[in-house]
Amino acid sequence: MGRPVLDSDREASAADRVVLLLVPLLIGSAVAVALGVYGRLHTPTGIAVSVAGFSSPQTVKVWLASGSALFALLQLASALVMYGKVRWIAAPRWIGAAHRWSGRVAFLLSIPVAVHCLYALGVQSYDTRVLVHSMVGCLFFGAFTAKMLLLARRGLPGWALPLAGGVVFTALVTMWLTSSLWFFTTVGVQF
Amino acid sequence: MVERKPPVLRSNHGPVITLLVGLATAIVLFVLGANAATEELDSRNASATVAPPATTAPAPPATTAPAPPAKIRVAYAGRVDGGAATIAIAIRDGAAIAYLCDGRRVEEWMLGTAADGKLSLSGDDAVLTGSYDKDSAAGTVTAGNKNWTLDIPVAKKPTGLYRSTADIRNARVVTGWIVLANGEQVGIANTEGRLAPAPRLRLPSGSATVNGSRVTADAIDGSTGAGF
Repeated sequence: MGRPVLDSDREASAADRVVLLLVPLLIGSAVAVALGVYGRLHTPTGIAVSVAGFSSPQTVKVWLASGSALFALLQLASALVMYGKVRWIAAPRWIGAAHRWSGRVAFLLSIPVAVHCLYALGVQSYDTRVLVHSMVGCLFFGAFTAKMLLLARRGLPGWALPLAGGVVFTALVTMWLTSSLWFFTTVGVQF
Repeated sequence: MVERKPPVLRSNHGPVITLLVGLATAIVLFVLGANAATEELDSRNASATVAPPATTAPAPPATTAPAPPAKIRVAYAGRVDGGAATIAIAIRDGAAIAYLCDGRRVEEWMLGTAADGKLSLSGDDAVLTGSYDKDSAAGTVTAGNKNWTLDIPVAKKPTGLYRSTADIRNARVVTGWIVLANGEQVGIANTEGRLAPAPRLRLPSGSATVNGSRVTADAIDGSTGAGF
């Protein structure tokens, strides 16, 4: 209120700020590394559960991932509107809810894909596409964890959430490019 | 004045709940998948008496650890229908490696899965889908804009797939050979993208002279684990 800001307060808040950022970042990194180590060390089972209506387990994953990527695009759009970056659109009141729910859907759609990838295929490096996909897949879930933990905190610097969101979005899109798009262009668009 | 600041999130717990729901979903799927895997392994083990002859290393008896992955280790080799190219497939515990080669211009290494009698592999510019049993593997392979059907028999050493990787005069050379049951060899040496017919592979030593250097090839047959 009217109290003057003391130097000790400033230092405390600077230190707090580091912890505020560092803890979610460390937890997110731990998640990414754990996924990578698990994916690398366990023997891939090669087992897939097919879903009725699709021709193969692969196509199930391809379309789940595509759904997730579509919601990720909504994420980018809603975030831009929310931060007032789209000049001709004033952020509607429901934009926050839209952002949260499209994110949740994107995340949930990605989970069955990731479980199958890790369980049946593991982290592989036999060509560049597969290596990039494996690395980015681990990064995505680490970054997503970090972003969620950051969201739960107050007093973050303004750039923290857009940066975390940007990493999450980039990772998800890269995952889609190195799997679904590859599938569509090599095998064909099929259900 | 319209505030252009990002709206403040009302709930602080939402993101954490999102994470927990995601984790719970993953655990449920993982358990379902593990059950499906166990069932599949059981059915595989039930038919383990039809274990392919190429299984040189029998699975050690399960003494302590419960249900290791089914030890299906087998290789197949032969010509695609029409004879334009040869193909070899090696399977090890659910993972599969295949090599398609015409000995001159076409070669594709493919990796993927072999589970429940089904093959699903892909490479840089190739896709193989099909089925396998104790005697043969069948299916279709697409490489570039060509595709072939195949029905190839189990390969017994020295028949099968061989691969060597060597750095020769600062160039990475990957050579693949398919040795057919009649002793015929079909292979390509790939020197950083330049393809040339592979030199003769001396068997059983597995040595060859590639680009003037002596290299040793690994037999990729699933039983040793080489290449997997």
